[in-house]
Amino acid sequence: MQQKLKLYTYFRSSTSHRIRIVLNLKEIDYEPKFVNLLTGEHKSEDNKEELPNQAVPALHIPDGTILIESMAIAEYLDEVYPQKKLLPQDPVLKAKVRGFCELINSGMHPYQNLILFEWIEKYIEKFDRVEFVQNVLKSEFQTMEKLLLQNHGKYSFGDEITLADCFLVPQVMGAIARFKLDISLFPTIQEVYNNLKDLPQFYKAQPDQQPDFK
Amino acid sequence: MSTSRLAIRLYTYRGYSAPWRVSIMLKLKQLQFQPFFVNLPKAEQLSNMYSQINPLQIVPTLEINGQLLHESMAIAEYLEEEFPRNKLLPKSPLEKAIVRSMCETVNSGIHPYHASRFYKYVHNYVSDINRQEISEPFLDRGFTALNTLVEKHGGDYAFGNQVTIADAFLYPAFRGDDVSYLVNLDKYPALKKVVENLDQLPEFAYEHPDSQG
Repeated sequence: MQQKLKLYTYFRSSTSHRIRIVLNLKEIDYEPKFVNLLTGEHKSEDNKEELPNQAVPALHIPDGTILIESMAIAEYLDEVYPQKKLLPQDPVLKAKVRGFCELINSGMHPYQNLILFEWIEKYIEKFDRVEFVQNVLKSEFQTMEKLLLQNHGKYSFGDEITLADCFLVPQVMGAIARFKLDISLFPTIQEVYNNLKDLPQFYKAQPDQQPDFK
Repeated sequence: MSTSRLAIRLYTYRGYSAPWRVSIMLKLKQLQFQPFFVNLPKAEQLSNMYSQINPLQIVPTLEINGQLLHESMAIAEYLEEEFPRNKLLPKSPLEKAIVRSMCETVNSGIHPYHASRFYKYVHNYVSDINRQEISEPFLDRGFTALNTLVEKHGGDYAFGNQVTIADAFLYPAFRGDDVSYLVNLDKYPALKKVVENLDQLPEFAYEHPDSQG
C-alpha cells in the first residue's frame, strides 16, 4: 500500500491554507497532521524533526524527505502531480503568476504573523494588530489590484485557475476575517475572490472547514 | 532561447541584496545585460520617473525582450528555464524543492525583516529602538532555519557541490549592504563555510554602489 503525503497544517495558517487548496485541486489524497500554533506546538521539542523551521506547512514525502516553504511545496506538487497544472506553459506568463504569488508570500504575509505581533507586543501594551497590518499592507493590496487588472479573466490570470489563485484566496480571506480588509476598495480582487472562494476545492480548504477548526 | 541580440536590462542598485541575486544569476548564465540604477536608499523606486518605467515600483525588475518581470524568485525560475546553459537547479523535483526552500527562507523568512518599509512601520509603534534590535530576532530565526537546511543538504555550496539558485539567494543575504551590518556570520557555521567558498567565485564579486555611474 502506498503511503500518503503528510501535511502539517494549522486551520488558520494562511500558508497551510494555500497548500490545502493545491492538494484539493490536484485531487491528492493526503494525511493532515494538525499543529496548534496558539499553544506553541510548532516550537515543541517533540516536533523538532517534523517541523525543521518550527512552522507550518511542512510536507512529509513517503521516502522521509520533509519539505518546507509553501512556494517550494507548491512547485513540487505541480511538477510531480501533473493533473490540473497550476502554472501556465508560456514562460512570461508563468513568471507573472510566480511574481504574483511572491508578492503575497514575501511582500505581505511576513508582516502579519504571530511571531511579529508577539515581538512588538513585548514593547507596546496596546498594540493594534489590525491597524498595523492595514497600514503595512495597503500599498501591496493596491499592487495586487493593478496586477489583476492587467491579467485577470474569471480568475487571477485568465480563465484557468493558477497558483496565483491558491495564494490570493487565503491572503484575502485572512485579511477580511482578521484585519478588517474592506475588499470593496479593490474591485478586481473582489471579483476574482468571489469567483474562487465557493469552488469546492477552495471551500473545503478554508479554515472553518478544517477538522482542527476552533 | 537564442542570446544573440537579446535586450536584457536589470533595474538594480549595487550592493543591495534583492537585485544582487538576479545579477549573480545573469552572470552565472553568462548573459549580457544593461544595469539601470535606481537609488534604493533614497526610495527612488517610488518616484514618478521610475513608476513610468515600472508601475509596480519594485526593484529588481528584469526587462527582457520588452517584457517586465518582477520578483527575484520568479525571475530566477524564468532565467533557469529559458537559458539552460549552466544549470542552476538540480534534476529531481524533490531536490529542486529543497533548493527552492532555501531561496524562500531568504526571500520570505529573512529579507522582509530588514526591508526599510518594515523599519518605517515598526517605528510608527516603537520609536526608541534601532534597526539591529528590530531585526535581530527575525533574522536569527531565518538564518537558523537556513543553517539547518544547509547543514543537512549542503556541501561546498548551499546544495551539494554545485552552485545553484540557493547560492544566489544565500550570498547576498549575508554580504548585501542592506543586511551585512545586522548579522554575524560566525553564528551560522554551515552558512559561513558556503559564503566563504562563494567569496572565491567571480560571479559573486561585490560591486560597490559608488561604481554606479
